[in-house]
Amino acid sequence: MIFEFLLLVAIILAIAAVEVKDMLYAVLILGGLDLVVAVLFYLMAAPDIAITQIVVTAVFGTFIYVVAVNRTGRKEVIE
Amino acid sequence: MDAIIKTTTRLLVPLIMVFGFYVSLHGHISPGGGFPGGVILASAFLLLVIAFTEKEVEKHFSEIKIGDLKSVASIALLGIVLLEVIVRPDILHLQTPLTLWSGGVTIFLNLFGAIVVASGLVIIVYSLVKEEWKSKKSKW
Repeated sequence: MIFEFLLLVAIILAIAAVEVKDMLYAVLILGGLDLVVAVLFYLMAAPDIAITQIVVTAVFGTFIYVVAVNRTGRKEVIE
Repeated sequence: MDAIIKTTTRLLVPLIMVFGFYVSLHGHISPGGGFPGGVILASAFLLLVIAFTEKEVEKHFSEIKIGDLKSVASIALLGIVLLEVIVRPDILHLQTPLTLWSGGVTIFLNLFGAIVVASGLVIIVYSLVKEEWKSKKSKW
């Protein structure tokens, strides 16, 4: 039950990360998506992958995205 | 950053580093290992560069020493792999299974692998943050 609920939350967060206009909010939603995916890995009995998922993508990926947003600007530009 | 974040960082950074060493040293009997432990060690430095200013970080930090640490740990990793061929029959008699002192030389491989990963990621983070400190428009 909780597994299907978390899958639904992951899909909603992924769509929200694409659709939101502010880039900094998109990066933070992406970090939340990584946390949900890590919990899913833990429920599928892979705690090793869950640790790596949290530490690499949710911490370092978010940091690198924040640096990139800080250099390019927060507004989404559509050409 | 303000005083609350600085004080919390001073409290948290040693605990994060202890947890990183725990994850890497227990890598052969519990989930974890050299790579996640090393990234946790580097994330302590990440917290440090976010909370403190350029001068406060560079008072206690040297990029050249971190690079030297990475080289020494890489050579130690190679030496352990070569040494393992010689000591493999003897070391297994001295160890008890399912305790911390088990699994041959895996615990040393995890420890030095964590140091290599941590110092490499610290150099990456520092070079990114140094560019941010240089640019005048940056909010850091």
